[in-house]
Amino acid sequence: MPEGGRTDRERLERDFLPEAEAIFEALAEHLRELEARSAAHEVKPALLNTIFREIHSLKGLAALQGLQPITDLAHDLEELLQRLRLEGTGPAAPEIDLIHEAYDALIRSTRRLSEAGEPEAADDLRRRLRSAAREEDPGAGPPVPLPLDPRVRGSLSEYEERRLDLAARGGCSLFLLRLRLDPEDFDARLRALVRALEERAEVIATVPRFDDDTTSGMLFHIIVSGARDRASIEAATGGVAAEIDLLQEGRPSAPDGSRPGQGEDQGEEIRGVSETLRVPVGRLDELLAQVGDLSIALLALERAARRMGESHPADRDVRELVRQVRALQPRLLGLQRGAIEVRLVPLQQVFGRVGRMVARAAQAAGKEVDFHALGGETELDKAMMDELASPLVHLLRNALDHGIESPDERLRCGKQRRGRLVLTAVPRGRSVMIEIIDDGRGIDIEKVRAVAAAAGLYDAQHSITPDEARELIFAEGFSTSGQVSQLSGRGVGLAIVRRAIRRLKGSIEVRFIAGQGTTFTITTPITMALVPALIVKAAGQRFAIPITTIQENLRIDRARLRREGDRTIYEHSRGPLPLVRLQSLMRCAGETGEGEERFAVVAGSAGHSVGILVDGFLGQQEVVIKPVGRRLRDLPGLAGATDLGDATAVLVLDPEGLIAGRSGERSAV
Amino acid sequence: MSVLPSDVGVPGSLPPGPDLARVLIFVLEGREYALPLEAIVEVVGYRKPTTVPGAGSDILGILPWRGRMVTIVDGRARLGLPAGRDEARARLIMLRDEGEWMALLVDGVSRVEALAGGERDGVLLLEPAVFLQEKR
Repeated sequence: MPEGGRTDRERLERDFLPEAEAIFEALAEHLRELEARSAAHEVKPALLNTIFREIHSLKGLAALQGLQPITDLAHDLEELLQRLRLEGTGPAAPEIDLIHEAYDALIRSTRRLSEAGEPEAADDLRRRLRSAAREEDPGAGPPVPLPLDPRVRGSLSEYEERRLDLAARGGCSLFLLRLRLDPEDFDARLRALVRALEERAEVIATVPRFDDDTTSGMLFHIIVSGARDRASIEAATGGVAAEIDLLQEGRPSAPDGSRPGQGEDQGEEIRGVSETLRVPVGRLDELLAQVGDLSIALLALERAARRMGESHPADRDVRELVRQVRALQPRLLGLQRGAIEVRLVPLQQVFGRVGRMVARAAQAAGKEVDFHALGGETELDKAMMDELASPLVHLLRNALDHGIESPDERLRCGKQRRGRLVLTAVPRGRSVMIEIIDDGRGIDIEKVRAVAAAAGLYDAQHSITPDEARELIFAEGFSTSGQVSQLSGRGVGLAIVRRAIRRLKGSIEVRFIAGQGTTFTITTPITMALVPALIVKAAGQRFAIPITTIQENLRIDRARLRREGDRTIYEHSRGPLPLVRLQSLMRCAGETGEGEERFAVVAGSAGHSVGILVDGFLGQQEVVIKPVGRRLRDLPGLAGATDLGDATAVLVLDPEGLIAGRSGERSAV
Repeated sequence: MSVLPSDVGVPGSLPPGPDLARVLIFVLEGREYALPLEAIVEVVGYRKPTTVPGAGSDILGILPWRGRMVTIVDGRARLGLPAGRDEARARLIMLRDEGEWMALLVDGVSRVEALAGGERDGVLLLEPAVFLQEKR
């Protein structure tokens, strides 16, 4: 026990405390800024986002070390910050006090750890945080009445609705533009128009309308807030014929607290400029690469300084050097995050395009569908978003073609005539969770079995479990079967979808209830430029595993191990979990003794979770995933490589790919 | 890229041509080979790469270099020569082809030379792109 205690303690000192300290240092500065800004009635959404992410990182770190009280407290604080972030209004004084109190409690708990004590319990504080996180937005009320077609207002997203309401309350001018664009090139023209408008005002929403006569072009409604006058909007339309309605006159000055549009008369010149600055993506990539290399250089410097500190513990200059180098790290991280943030764009860009596609495809398939896209304000890296568009379209088409029944069939089943198809996005710290939910017929697992058996993927003699079906529909080869067209469940080309999601270092899962509907859940990091990853050790080598691909980290309790044939099974609280060593998955040389590993990373897809045994967890950090060359990039389970600061390549793994590669091999044997 | 003079039997060797002027001459198993200078970015000392399980037998591993991940091809394995290296003298020749970077591990680098008219004194001129392909 004392032995184990000491190693835990060492791990704590090495992995948790320095990083926690860096986070606290950055937080202190950001909380000061938050307080100053809110005293001046200024709102800076990016600041709340930063604080939110810092708390989120702290939570992750604490969870990795099993520090439950710190994890819990950070979680509750995160919830409160999440609410403030989504509301878009600055925190009020009591909330600021509460945030400070939670921050102090987190520091105290961490300090106790470094003094070998237990973190303090904070039940009362947590209760207050939770109740503040649930509180209603004090600014919310019944929507301000505007002379706006209820159908247009009804199709606004929650976020757009809120911005419209804030602008209306804040006394900003509000205009509605109605214009027709040629279906041939409406995308480009609409983008150009929105850009031109954004130079003068805030574009709250662009709403396409399909129920009009579509033969003479597509009708769009654009809601603009904060424009000076009608003429400034006319100037932006640049020759496109548009009807312009005034929804609300602008008041000379908007009151504090709300978030008025960033118009030219709002006095926020800097933000106004940055919102319309157009920069080629390549230049942003270059910036990010430079910052990434700088951070790697800094890591090397930090290591050298630390070694120097160890060999000259008494030298004051050396101590000062170590301190200064450490202090650079949070700043550089801030720079790196800033460089990443400029690449983030709201998912609405894809959701909008997808919405148009759904309307057309539903009509073509003879289905009646109500489509809702929620959470379009969730932000994602530009490059990620471009990659996501096609899998999303694929899944939505599947839902329309195979999930949602025809109106007649729905009525026969006692369902509403119109099907429901919902696309949602929710930010989850450094990841985004996207769900595609339909209320169609679900997946018929017997048909899955028949198709899989015909494709040689499944032994036709066996009965099939829902878990197996959930795995099979994603299998390579399942979609190319000649029977696809007879399959009235899903399964068309889902292997392609999963491959695309894996390229984004994400995961996809499916849940369904026969006759009631299907939900696909995609989780991806918001950017691939900097991905939080767990660094593990196996076979004397380090590997990085993106956090989004991991279900859970396990510390193996040897009493729960048992053998089952040639497999090792772990009696997990959620059910038996097969274990496999990373070393054998990777076919690494340099075998260590069987059963040495004490840690496992749980990964895999629904019902096929596998615990991957490793020798140790070396910590969690954000890594830059670099592609490997063309001779290596198709190796299963290899997502790329990264440099952790010591000029050595560390392989970045895709655990699902590793597991799939292995099971594929097994069934072939 | 299948320009293999059948009498030589070395993958990637180029037929003589007047337009190939300056080359880097290096040594593998006591024999001299050459690569056109324009394909070479840099020559660096040997550093131990990270092995990539499952990679081809001629791939030693990968190495971060100038912000990229470079695949290291073992020149001896690629040309079917016996294994063995003197790490103090061995060099990595960094090559670029269509935006992809690779490094060729050689026993040593001799000199830069103008190779007018192709092969001379038993020096074999190699085609860099061949190292980017699978070993057959």
